[in-house]
Amino acid sequence: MQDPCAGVKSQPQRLVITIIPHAITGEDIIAWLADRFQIDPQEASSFGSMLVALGYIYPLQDHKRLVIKPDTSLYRFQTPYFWPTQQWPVEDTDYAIYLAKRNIRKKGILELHEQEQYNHLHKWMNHKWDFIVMQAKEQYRAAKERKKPDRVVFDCQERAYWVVHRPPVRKHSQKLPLNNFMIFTQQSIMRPRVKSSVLVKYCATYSGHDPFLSKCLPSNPWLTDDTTFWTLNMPNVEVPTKMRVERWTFSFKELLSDPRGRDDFRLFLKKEFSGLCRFTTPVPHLAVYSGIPDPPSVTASPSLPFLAHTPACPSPISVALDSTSASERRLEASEGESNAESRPPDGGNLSRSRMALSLRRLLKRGCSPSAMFASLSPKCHTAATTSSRIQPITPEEPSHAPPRRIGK
Amino acid sequence: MPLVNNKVGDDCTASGDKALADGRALVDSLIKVVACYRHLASCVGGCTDSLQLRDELRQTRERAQKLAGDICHHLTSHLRDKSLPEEQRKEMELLWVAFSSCLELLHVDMCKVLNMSGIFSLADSATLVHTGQEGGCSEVAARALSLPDLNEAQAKTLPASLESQERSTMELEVNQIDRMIDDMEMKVNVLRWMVEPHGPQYADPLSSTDSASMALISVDEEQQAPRSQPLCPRSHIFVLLLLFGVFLVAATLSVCVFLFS
Repeated sequence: MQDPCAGVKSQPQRLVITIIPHAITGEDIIAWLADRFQIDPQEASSFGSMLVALGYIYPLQDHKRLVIKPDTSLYRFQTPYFWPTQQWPVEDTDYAIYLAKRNIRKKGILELHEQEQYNHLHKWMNHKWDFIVMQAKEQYRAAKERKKPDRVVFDCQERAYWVVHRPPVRKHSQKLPLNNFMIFTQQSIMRPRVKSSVLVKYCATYSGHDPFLSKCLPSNPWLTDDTTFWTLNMPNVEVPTKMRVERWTFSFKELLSDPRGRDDFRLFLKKEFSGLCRFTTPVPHLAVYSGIPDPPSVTASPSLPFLAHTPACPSPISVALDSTSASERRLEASEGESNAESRPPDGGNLSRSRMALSLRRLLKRGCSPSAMFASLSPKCHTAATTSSRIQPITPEEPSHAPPRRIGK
Repeated sequence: MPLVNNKVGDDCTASGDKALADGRALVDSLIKVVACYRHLASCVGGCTDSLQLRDELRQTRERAQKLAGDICHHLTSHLRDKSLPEEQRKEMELLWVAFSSCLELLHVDMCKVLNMSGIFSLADSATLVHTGQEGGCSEVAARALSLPDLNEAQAKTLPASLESQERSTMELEVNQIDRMIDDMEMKVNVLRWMVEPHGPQYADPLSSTDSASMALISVDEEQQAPRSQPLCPRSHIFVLLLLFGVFLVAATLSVCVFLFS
């Protein structure tokens, strides 16, 4: 586009007595795009508007509207520092510095949305506000060292960048029709809420495992320089800590999301099913209960694992059949038929609820989570039938991944 | 008469205040250098990109790294001192937050410059973007290096390094800053959100405001339609007054001619 012969024709922009080069008109951009890509002017106009909306080209007049106009309106190429190509994160710190600079330049007269953003940023970035104001002043002073036209160009570039990434609030958003407002409030009311009892139970369960809410042994690495805690809770450590194993009892998800837990569960299943079970990693929890005592046939897909039905850990389908009375089974069957006729899409829901019931019955039969998991780790010696809590040997602490560096 | 050990207390406070003042001066210098570096970095890949700009970036970067190393050492040693008084500790922590924020800004700009210098090679100037800028940034670099004139600095160093060597050096420097940021997090435990700043929410307007360039940008900002009045209102009034004066003079002359003819 910049080719002096075949590119878009550039002209100087005149601002009172200042002349700034490399300005291009909207109609020239559209004509060039249409010619270059052999497309009609409408499509070229859309493509040009995309270039403006993304921030590769910015308008010199009417800078808030990021569209390309098919007239003599002027545009300029954005400097690569502000391009979106590299997808560098757009930091609020930079925006705060920009607003502070703008506040200095305009002597406190910011636009409404800028004022609101400024106040909001001051509230939540208060701890580094001194730095933001100082950096804004220094950037302002450094800009004054440059020649006036270059200073104007840099200000326009920066302004265009923030119009793309922090667009001003559209005026017509304040005039939402009443219908939309009513629909919005109705949907807000109907949106499902998390029960407070569920939340309380969750917090009560996990509070003992949070190093910031309760004691963390040997020491909290976020507060001291001792990293033993992280070493003891590495993903594939040989001996898991007590708190880590206790966490596995909370749910299957906890067990299977921990690589060490997955390994122990795999080991348990190998021991119980004598190698008939194969897990698909990394999604082992989608193993299928065949419900049949025979091992899978040779033609069965090797990637689909089958857990054979044994007395020690019976298939949930068998348990459901054994535990359900005949009347319940007739009721479920009739429900299934009627549901299949009237509401076919709900058949899936019904079968899922029946599976959940089967799993509950399976667990009642004696495959309780703690009892089952107690025998998982070869290091855990417990009386699974007498105690529901694990009594491990070593009093170590739960696993937590080392924190990532913050502040980026 | 009880022994009063004020002298020792005063000496400790005085040395602490001096350490604080030194730290503050160092951090202020770094903030200035990083601000200048940002201006220089914004020119990379544009039509003003040149060997001179790349050399100015290198010098500014080296200055920033030296300052960062000094500040890191200074603040770390004082913040790990258990005997530091509480008030001075709070001030040091404030400096620490400013320093770490500044270092993050520098790291981001260095990564951007490294990336863009790989994309926009100076060997092919046709790829440089026509951004509308024409002048260089030597004055900005001179400000960063605290030199009256950058020619003095240019006389000492020559931009003789090839682009590839420059890139590998820059990569090392970026990694060095990255390691410094990580070390800071591990060595000193400053709770950033607990730090209370002293300054106001709004920066005071600086003494010499740039009203001229502001007016140039205001012309674009205040107009929503394509420009029909290229002159600002003040110039318009001046022209009108001038015309009115000319008209008055002409009218007076014509009256005189009529009366005396």
